[in-house]
Amino acid sequence: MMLQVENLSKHFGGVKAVDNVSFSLAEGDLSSIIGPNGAGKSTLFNALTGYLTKDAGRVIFRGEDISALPPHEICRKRIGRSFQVINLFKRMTVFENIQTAILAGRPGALSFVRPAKSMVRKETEDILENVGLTEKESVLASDLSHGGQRQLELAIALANKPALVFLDEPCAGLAVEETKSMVKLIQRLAKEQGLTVLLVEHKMDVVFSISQKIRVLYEGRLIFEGIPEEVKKSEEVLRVYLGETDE
Amino acid sequence: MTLDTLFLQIVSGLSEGMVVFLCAMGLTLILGSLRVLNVSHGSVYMIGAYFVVAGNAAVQALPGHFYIALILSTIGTAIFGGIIEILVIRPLYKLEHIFQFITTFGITFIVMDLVKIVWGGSYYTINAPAYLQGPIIFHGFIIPKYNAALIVLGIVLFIGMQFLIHRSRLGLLIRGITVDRMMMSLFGIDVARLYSVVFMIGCALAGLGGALVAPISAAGPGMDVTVLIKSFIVIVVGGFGSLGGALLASMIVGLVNSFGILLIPKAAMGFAFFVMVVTLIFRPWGLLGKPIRLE
Amino acid sequence: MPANMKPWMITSLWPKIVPIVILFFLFPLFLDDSALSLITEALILALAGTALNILLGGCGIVSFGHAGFFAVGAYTFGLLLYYHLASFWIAMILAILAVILYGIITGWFVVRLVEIYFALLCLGFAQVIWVITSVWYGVTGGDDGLNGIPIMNSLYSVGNTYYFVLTVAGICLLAMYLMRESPFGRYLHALRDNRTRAAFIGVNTRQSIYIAFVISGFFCGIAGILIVIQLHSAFPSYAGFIKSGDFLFVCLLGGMYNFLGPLVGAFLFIFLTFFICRYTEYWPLFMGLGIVLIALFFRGGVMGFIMNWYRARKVKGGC
Repeated sequence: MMLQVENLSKHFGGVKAVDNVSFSLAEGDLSSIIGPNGAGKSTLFNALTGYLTKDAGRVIFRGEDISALPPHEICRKRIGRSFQVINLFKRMTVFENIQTAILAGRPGALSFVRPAKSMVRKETEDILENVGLTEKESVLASDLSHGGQRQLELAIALANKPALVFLDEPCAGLAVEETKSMVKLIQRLAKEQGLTVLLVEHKMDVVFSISQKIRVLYEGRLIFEGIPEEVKKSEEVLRVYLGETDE
Repeated sequence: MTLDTLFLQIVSGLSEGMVVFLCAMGLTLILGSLRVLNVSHGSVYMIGAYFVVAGNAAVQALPGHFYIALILSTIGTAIFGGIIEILVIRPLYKLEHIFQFITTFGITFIVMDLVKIVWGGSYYTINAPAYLQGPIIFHGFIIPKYNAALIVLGIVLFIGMQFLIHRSRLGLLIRGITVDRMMMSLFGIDVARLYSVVFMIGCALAGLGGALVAPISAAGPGMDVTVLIKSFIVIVVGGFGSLGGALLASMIVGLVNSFGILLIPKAAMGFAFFVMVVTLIFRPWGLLGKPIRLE
Repeated sequence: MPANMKPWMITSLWPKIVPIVILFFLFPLFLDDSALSLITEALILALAGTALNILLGGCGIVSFGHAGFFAVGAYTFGLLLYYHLASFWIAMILAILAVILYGIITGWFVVRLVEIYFALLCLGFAQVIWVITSVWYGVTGGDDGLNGIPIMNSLYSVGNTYYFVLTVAGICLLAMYLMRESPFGRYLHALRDNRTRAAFIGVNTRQSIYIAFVISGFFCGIAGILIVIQLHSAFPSYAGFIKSGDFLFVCLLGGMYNFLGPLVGAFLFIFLTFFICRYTEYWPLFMGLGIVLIALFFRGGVMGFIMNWYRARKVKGGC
């Protein structure tokens, strides 16, 4: 079992952002979490990746309890993450963004005097090629197009050769064609690197094309878990989404 | 030390603490709602003190001149704050916070020297209004009237501020922008103007504090840095975002300072500093703050 | 990898740097003592500024109290020599240790806070040092400062002091440059550009900031030692608000995001103060105005301006 989430809860004041959520991911699973706005998806990700303290519950990765670990240690356990709001190193080039991500994942590489410029070049170029950013390697991260930035987000998440990746709305803000490319990219990389992927997305076509399993989060609670066909037919899920738009 | 002297020190400490509380309240308001660090907040306090001295001299002939000077001084510092916010801080909201610190830091130097140019380097003080001079004698204990008035005023302003934030429409708007600036603009609120208003209120509080301290402490160079550090100590000890904590911490800092002066005059601030260090070790989120992950 | 100008590296300018370094070593041959003294002052300021810039431009963190390190270095060194408690080199080593200790202790508190609180807390600690140096009249000479500190005999000549400062500052600058280009330097830039992201690529942000803080303070403290060597005196103002302001201004003026920024800023600063202070005692007023204007309109400082010009020229000439 790659990941086990047991009775995870997180409150803010009186609001239960994440309410007693439990699920597990097997190795190689490609699954998604969906839910209307405010359902608690980002909070869940933040709690899983160490950015928020948990009020209850445990997170177990490959048999190890990572519930209390801070983000940088969780990352080093070979877990990757991309962010919903684009989070790049703006003043560095694409190449340096990835190179730094690789270096940071390897405590052994830390040096205070050796120049970083020539370190891990091969690995960096491999990742660049994998996500298709090789021609843009010298471009400043802040100068990339939105699509390019999303690709870079993904590249950084994969820099550490993770076994498990959390992708938080990787297709947000992308046009139709770009979304299709991103989906194909994620599918290809997942297959090539044997990744276990947990995705949060709003775009239903993305969700249905990538996921083997879909979980629905509503008001912090996991209300449904099933394969895409079951989700499409579920009355409960429909109500949850329609209920939102009726307001 | 006799009981009277002890009592006197306590009263003096509490009242000076109240003045710091006013300044700290303004700083917390600006910091908490606008997320702007106004390093020049101490300078605003100093301007308040100088304005009240100047104002008092100008309207000396009029009855109630002290109060007129107070009002003029508070309005003056509010205007000053508004000017700074519009000219210097507003253009920088979208950038990293580092630039806001740097510019307000620069303003501190400008004000420091402007004050010296206009008023020179000496210390100025004014007299409290006649009926606030002198002591109240209470069961044999001496309480200077002015200091007592300051303590009362501090508590009144605290209650007033709580009311403003939690019960008024303005307070609702302020709490709104604290949480989500963009959301507020979607509601049709002129966020930029609201920011200026909040900034001006914060400066007015600091200016009022400075003006009120003039009769007991004197306006002079260096008061800007001292009050800035004390306000900061108050916010850290009291807890981020807690007005009640700031009140409590101000009283503690005031008392510690007042007794510290008895021991080693020039190093008095060191004792307040020590309190902050202890707080940071044992309760880093302050006395009444909420325990958060300080990431 | 195609050659491209990055805003913060000056690799292609290296050929122009070496002749300048050689020029510096030749200055004493044709410049008089007063000019050399000014340059020595500028070098010391450049060292302090570059040290501060590890945090400022490198980590995106402001400290308003770096003068604390400067003063701790200066006074420890000065006091030990003044009271004949140690020989020149031993005093230097002890002063360095004191600076490191100051960094480790104050850093522990400071990294627990964020942003503005960090900046103010640094200021607070520096103020404590200021109070100690100005109050403890019997030991430190109070506001009059320590004067007539005895130093190594050969360093009483302006020329020798110049070479000593040049060598020490040069080595320190080189060390800081190496660190900037190392993986650790990259961690710092990462956490400057995006602290949330940096945490999730594996950077222990708090620990990295702590280390950067101590290192930055270390080099700033060395600058304090150097100033005692140059001026044979130490004053409480070394720990003051204005001194911290000077360091900050130097980084801002020269350009925070460029390694040579503080160096350029320091020389400009000495130049400016030399002229402005002739006509007015209100230097802080001008500095404050300068800080505000630069932060509003010229955030890249002088080096930023030059790099943009260089980049524009390359685009026109090249492609």
